Amino acid sequence: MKTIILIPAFNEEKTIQKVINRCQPFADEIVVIDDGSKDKTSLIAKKNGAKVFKHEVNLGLGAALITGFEAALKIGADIVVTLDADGQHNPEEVPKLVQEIKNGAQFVVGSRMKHKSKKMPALRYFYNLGANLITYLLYGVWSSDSQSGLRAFSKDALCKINLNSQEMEVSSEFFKEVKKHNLVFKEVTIEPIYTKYSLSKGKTSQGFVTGLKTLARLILNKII
Amino acid sequence: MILFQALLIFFILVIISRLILRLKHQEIRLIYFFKWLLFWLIVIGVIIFPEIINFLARNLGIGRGVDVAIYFALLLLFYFIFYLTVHIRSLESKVTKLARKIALNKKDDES
Repeated sequence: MKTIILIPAFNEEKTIQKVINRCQPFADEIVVIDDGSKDKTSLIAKKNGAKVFKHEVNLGLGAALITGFEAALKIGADIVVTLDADGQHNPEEVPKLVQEIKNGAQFVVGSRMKHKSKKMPALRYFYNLGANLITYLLYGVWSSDSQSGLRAFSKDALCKINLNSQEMEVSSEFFKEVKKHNLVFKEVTIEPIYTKYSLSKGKTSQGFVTGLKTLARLILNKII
Repeated sequence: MILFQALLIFFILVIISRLILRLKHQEIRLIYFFKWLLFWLIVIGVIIFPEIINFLARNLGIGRGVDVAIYFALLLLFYFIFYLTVHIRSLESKVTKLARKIALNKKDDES
């Protein structure tokens, strides 16, 4: 079964090389979606053996993932694993998600909230809990870590789902599709990793204001 | 005519002149030009003859003419916000599809 690791990236020249190299043992191919980076993300990713697809302008996480899914299906993926480019996921945990897909799951989420010994920073924990609750209220599927970027999809799940999200709200939209297509959904426990770098990036991409904007977009998606 | 009315009319005339310029430079379609022109002419009419909204207020059961103007203005503003939101989302979706197509085709050309 062909496993592809899909990495959406925006201005990640500092971390992309390390992330790709660490992913290589666990995938048949690595696909990077460069979401309109102004730095050398694409160049570094290509040099390190990843297939790169570049958005000419920055569109957002949702748009990058959708492009990535289309690309992965085009190059014959059977299993697609998504992973963040800022180094906050341990690629050694990818096989756990892949195994669940091989066991029959169609959508697997790596849950940081289930980890017993290592906890995420309190504020992040609170944001994620709120996001889980909102996802449940909107789409009726409970996940202990709906916003986790480490996910795996079977090919048939990717063929069924129809995503429209542009930005961060895509994380919740996956659960709308889980409910709609009755997908087999599993969670595996993963280690929450917060480096100085990922925390500094998160300040702009996952702060309170971004949270409110994401909520507004989720509600707009629901009514328009 | 009181000063406030004159100021409002002057302001609207400036808007109409900008509208004409946009039509001249073919930045808006003729149909939109006439729609906006009609709208602003009605507003001028109401400013010159405020009795029109007083008459409306009496017949609609709303106390003052000014209240009618505020209610209609609010309704219009909400409509425009809704219209613009839908329009922006539609544009966003078009740009995304275009960027996606370019990204996927570029890879095809290279490999």
